[in-house]
Amino acid sequence: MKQFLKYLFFFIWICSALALLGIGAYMLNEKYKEDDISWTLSSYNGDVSLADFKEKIVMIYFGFTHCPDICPTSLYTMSHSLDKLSEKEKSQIVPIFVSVDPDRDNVELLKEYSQYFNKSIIGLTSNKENLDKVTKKYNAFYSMVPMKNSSLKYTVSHTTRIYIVDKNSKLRFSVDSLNQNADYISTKLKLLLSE
Amino acid sequence: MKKILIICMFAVLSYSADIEVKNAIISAPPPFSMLTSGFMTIHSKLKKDIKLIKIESDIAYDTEVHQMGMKNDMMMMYPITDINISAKSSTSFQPGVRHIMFIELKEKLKVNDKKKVKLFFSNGKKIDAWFDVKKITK
Repeated sequence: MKQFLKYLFFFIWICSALALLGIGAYMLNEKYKEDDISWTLSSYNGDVSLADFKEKIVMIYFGFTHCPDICPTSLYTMSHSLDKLSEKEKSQIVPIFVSVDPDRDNVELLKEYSQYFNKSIIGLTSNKENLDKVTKKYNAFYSMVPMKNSSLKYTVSHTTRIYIVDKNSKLRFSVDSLNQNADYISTKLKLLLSE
Repeated sequence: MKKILIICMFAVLSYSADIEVKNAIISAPPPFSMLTSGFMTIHSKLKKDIKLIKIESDIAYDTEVHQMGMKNDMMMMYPITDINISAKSSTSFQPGVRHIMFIELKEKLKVNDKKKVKLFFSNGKKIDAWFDVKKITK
């Protein structure tokens, strides 16, 4: 009986230790995911970091300027959602367009392209290595795809979501730019601003 | 002779109405951009399927049709030819689904411009469609 109880306590002790280890690992992982959305990218005016926008809401869209369909539509939608806000609300939001096609999109072109859709949109890019790290943090994807039978040499497949970072630099949610309109996005932004 | 001419005119006009292009829009691009996209709906009243085999426009050196699709959570596009226009149905080109791509623009396009695009079909029909240049948003 004594022996049995010994083994039972030992078994319970092992299970508890494993459970605690698992919980700890999960919390660390979640903390990593939660905190590490920082980045530094290049703009026409120099390096820009997420940390530069503390106390502001940041909207981020990953795309490229040779995108004829989704990116212009998404950027027009971003712009339109901002137009539905008051001047005070707009001043607390930073819209960003990150090009994942640095071979064709330099910072000068990105500045002009982004500001065409809305004067407040900041155009950013970087080298492939950095872009890969940044997109991974946001669970965004992109891929260069050769275009056969086209005068375009290649296109870029990419996720079509607008990522929203709150005033505490936490990634709160993302919006499907294809299926959500400007009204929906502006409503979500107003809710975040009211926090 | 006059009667024959009038009858022929009506025949041509009624044949033309068998294929209509509606909601034709070109997305207003940034002034320096070398490409943009076009969208439309083709309404066919024909009894047989036909194909859209070629698109031409004076606004760009190249004009292609691209199909869009999601793969691994990413939107991708690829060129397609011979687009099927089913009998007595509508075929739409809309954002995120399918678009005309105008590559190497020859001129700056401004909102409210109207531009002619020629559509060629497999039954020998050719339509000149007028596209409005607009900002496209959700």
